[in-house]
Amino acid sequence: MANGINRQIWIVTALIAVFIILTLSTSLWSVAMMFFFPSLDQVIYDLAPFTQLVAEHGLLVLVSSGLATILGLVTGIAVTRRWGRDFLPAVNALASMGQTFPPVAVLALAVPVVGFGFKPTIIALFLYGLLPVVRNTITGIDSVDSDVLEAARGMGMTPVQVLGSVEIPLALPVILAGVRISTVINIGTATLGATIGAGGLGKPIIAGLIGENPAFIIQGAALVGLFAIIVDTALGMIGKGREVSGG
Amino acid sequence: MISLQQVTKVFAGRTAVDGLSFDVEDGEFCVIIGPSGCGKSTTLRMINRLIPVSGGVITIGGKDITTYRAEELRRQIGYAIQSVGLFPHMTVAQNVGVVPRLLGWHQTRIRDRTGHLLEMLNLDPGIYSAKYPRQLSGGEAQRVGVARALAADPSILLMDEPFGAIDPITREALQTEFARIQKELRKTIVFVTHDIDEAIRLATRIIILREGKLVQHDTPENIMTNPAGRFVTEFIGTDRALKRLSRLGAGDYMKKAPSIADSEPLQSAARFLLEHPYLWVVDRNGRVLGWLDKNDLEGAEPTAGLAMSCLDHRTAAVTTESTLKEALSRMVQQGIRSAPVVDRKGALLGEIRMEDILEA
Repeated sequence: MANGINRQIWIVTALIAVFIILTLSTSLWSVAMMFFFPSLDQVIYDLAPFTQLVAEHGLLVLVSSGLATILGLVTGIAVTRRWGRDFLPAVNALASMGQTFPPVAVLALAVPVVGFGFKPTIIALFLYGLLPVVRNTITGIDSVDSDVLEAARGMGMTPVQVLGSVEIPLALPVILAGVRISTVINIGTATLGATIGAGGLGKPIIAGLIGENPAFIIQGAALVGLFAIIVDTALGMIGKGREVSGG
Repeated sequence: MISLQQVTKVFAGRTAVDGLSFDVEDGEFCVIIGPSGCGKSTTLRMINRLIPVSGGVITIGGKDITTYRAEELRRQIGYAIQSVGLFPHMTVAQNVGVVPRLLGWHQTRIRDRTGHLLEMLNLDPGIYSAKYPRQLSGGEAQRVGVARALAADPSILLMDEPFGAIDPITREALQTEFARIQKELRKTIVFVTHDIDEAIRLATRIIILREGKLVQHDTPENIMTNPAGRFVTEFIGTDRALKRLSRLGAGDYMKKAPSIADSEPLQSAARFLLEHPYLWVVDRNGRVLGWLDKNDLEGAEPTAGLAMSCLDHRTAAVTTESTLKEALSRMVQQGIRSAPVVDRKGALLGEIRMEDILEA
């Protein structure tokens, strides 16, 4: 098992290296793109440096997924408490609605209210990322053996202690899986932010679509894809690492 | 002392426990027994307030339990359940140390206590401390569950069929061990079971419940000799006499046993056999190897060891902690009229004779 983890660390490190090279090296891109698309007069997206696009994209994901994780956890925990059980069906329904709502529609609705740019994108991504966290938190906590809970209470743990030292540790692998799904979805969906001026790696993709320039699209898409794979693998490792050390 | 006065529990209109009153004296091993649905587990769980009472009062040491904070109360009371409920993400040592940690004990004190308890329950701390619950067999998990209940040295233990989910052989071994531990620790125990043999074997007092009401509250001996009505008689079963044997310790009925070393010449055995109908044959460490009777003298073998009928002490012998019921069972199995009593290493200490069991 420890070997598997070591190998994954190597894979992540290698992927990050490739990601950095692709972000910084315009010459590499121009050689490759000119080879594949010799007819294009411009093969490098140059309206903004890629370092800036990556930073914007990262910030969009960090803020939206961070908020979704925090609120998702709090909500999931609240509705699995004795006093919050009544809200469980309502929360489940709401979170499902958040997911079925197309992010583009959220953008369209949010722009008139909060204006263009960063904010509406964050709102859309946040709503979209909420469901996996809420649902996995509820599933994880609900799947804790009732005998284990009875023992915990019978030994004199307070409700907070039961939550902190029994329920959350046992539900953590499932909760982490939810966070992982939510974050990876958001990395892909964040490209939509470019349509309303939030920047990010969606910019070259949108520019490529409008200007019929496949080289731009590939540059944006390759970096978004790589970003998602890196985060997915890294978050997966956190889950695995816990299983090994924590049983 | 634990005291219940007119305790009632109503679940959604159904009365589970109905005006129940009884006392459990300090150091008493009180077994609550009855058919499923009689309210025995409910009663137990009302004592540590996992379930609130609907009516009546429960006191511990004269103090109403509702005057304590529920968590404080539970930390003073050991609790073991049939499903064990070990924390799967904690090691055996961490599981045992849960209550001491809640009580804020110092780390080294917790470690010493954990090691001591594992040893007491015949789990080598060196091997088991770092294991996770999923690596344990059913019997081992139950032992850890008992160790965990004993961890903070509570004066009261509540146990809900703690040996219920394991095979009969392991269960009997655990009962024997637990009886030995209780002899030493003298806890006040309230123990729920549906197994009358277990109740008779372990209890100093038995409470028989039926549909939430107390039917009989007495010592096992009195319940067997003087059952209150048909319900109790049927509940005890027709093998009362046999059940009684499970309360009697082999150590108390052990007689001196004649023995001879296996290397001795057969002639010296002949002299003994004039006085005794048979002789145990032991090796030089005193371990039982077999027995000799007059028929064996007719052969031409030179030593006792060569002439004897072999016996495996692991299947035929009992220990001083065994019950007369086990001794009888071994005799019937092996077709012998007396069973050797041995120590942990198999060395002969004495014997249990069939005629003594019949008179017991």
